[in-house]
Amino acid sequence: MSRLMRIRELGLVAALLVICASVTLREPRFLNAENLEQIGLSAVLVGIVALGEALVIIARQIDLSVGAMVAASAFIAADWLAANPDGSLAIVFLIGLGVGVAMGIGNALLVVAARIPAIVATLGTLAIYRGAVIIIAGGRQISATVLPDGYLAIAQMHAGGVPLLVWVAVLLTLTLGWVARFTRTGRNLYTLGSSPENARVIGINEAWHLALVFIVCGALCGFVGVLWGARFGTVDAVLAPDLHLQAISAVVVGGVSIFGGSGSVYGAALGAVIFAVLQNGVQLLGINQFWLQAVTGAAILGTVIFYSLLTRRAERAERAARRQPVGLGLATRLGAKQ
Amino acid sequence: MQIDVRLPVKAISIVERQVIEIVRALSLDAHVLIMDEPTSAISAREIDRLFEIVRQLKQRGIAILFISHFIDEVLGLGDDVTILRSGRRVISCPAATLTPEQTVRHMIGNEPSALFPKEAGTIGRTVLSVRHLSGAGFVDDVSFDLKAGEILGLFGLVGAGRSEVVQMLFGITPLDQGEILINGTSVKPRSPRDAMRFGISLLPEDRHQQGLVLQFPIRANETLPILWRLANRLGLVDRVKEARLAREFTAQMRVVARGIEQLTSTLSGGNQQKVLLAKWLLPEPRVLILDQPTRGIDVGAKAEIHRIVSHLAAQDVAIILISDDALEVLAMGDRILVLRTGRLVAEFTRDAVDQQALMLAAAHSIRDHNAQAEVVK
Repeated sequence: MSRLMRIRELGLVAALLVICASVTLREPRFLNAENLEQIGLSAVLVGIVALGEALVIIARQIDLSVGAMVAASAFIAADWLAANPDGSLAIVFLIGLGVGVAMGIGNALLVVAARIPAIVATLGTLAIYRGAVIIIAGGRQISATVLPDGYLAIAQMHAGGVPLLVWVAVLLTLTLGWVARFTRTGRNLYTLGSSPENARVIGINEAWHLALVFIVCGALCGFVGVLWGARFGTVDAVLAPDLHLQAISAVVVGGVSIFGGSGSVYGAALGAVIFAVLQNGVQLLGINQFWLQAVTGAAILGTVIFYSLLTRRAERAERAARRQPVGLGLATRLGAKQ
Repeated sequence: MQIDVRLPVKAISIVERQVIEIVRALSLDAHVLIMDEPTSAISAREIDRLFEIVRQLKQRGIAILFISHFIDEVLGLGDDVTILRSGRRVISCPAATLTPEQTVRHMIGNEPSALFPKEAGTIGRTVLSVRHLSGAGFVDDVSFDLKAGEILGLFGLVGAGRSEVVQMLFGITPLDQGEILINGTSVKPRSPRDAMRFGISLLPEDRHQQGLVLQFPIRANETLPILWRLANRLGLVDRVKEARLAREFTAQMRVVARGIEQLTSTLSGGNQQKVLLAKWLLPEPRVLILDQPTRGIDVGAKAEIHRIVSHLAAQDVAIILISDDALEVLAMGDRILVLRTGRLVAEFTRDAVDQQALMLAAAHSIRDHNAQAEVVK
């Protein structure tokens, strides 16, 4: 598993470098600090959502409501801030997270308690959450003029020449990647995603783990909602209309199997970066926007075909490899341990 | 027979569904009707109705190939009988010329035993007692004892209820009635995790669905049942200890692989089965239940698994061995229980029984006891 994962992730980095190089050859401005920063900030917003989506998909579920959750938490948080311009930023983040967690709990209840398949449950909440924020907004738009500068500055802050938000996203990616790979909870998610039947025989608490991924995904969306307002300065009820598609695309291109149980959180983050670079490259080179859609689609299909070939080759190589009993020589006689 | 044709099929009984299948086949003007174990999922009363229909079809001039593993059905219904063993035809002859005993002899043949007989060892005190176990729709009043160091063979045909009984012991299927005692203390395993806590391990019959996570490497598969013990309070898995345990057990099972990080999907069936065995030995069970541990694996791996199981018994593990293979339970079992349609129908000690007696107990006259049995597939 880990070897295959490493090959996939190295492949993603290689693909990313090739894309960057070919855009730079035609348009050297690609490497301008300002341009790279824009790419970074786009990747951060989609990427953090993709982290949550990756956990959900690894557990063999899906969350279509991420865009609506981001919009709802962005609007409610910004709305509060516009009304309380002297309010603390900590409270804004708490509001965003609270809204996200509440919506995540909503998804979890539908999937775990009401036993509705995730694709249907979140299709429903996608509409409900979006509808709720449209009603709350009532056509209003919260613009940068009514939002305090301190809030908008979040997206401008730097540390070591790199936007602070990029650091935050990197930290989140490493943390969640670590949890997924090295903790019992992470292993349980992979087991559930690969073989729910097996998870039951082992005694893994399916309900608890599924609820966890939906709630974590909601929390990450709530966090991104607050960042969204800070980055764009303008918040309305219809922001991020295709975010669920972008997040799922990043997860799939990042090597997470849509059937659950394999792939990594790191891959999903890399997938988000690749899409941010592609989008920027298409704009920078003045290519018709239609091509962005086509390139996105080609990237998804191409990587999925590539992964299945890779998996099949790796399996064939393992079957063909010369074999001997594991640890023979070191092997204690049977029963030494029993 | 009257069936309301407007009802959805799920609303009618199994025998009515079979009638609909037969009618569908006949609507194609079939001259030959093949019925593959049509009686395996219906009760004795329904079997009579089905036989009635089969006889009517025969009178209409339709040729019927009736497949069954119950001897009395084949001898009672058939005009001619063909017996297959290991993919070869053993005999074809008129049904009237065969007795049940002769049939069994043809079914089991005289194959040389390529098995690893159980090592002699001392049998200790009773570890597991099962009293009047009923549930899963048809398991009825099953009682037995299991002692430390003993291998208890559980023999029976497909659908006899063997897996259902052990799944109740392991907390997968709830029991309707009965009592389970571990070391004399009554326990109620409500989940597999409960059962593991009582020192029970179950190697499931289905290697792929319930047994292994094929996308996982050998290491992660083997440590699944003890992952909670390998994790610290933060949930962080002790990977050094995990790898050490996995390497140790993989070596003991003599799994042939590149290493403990090899994906289990790329192992041969026999090696997958050894990984599965390692997985369920890691919790260090007192009671080890093996549901068809050697099905579909090659002779070499089979002998290795027998060697390991036998050795475990010598280490005082109490073992229940389920098998379709009469020779296997005869070679390995200290005692052998025979189940038929959810009931315990015979108990033998190893020396007091042969293949033929086992097979007769398992396959003959299913219709004496089970007037109420409703096998739910």
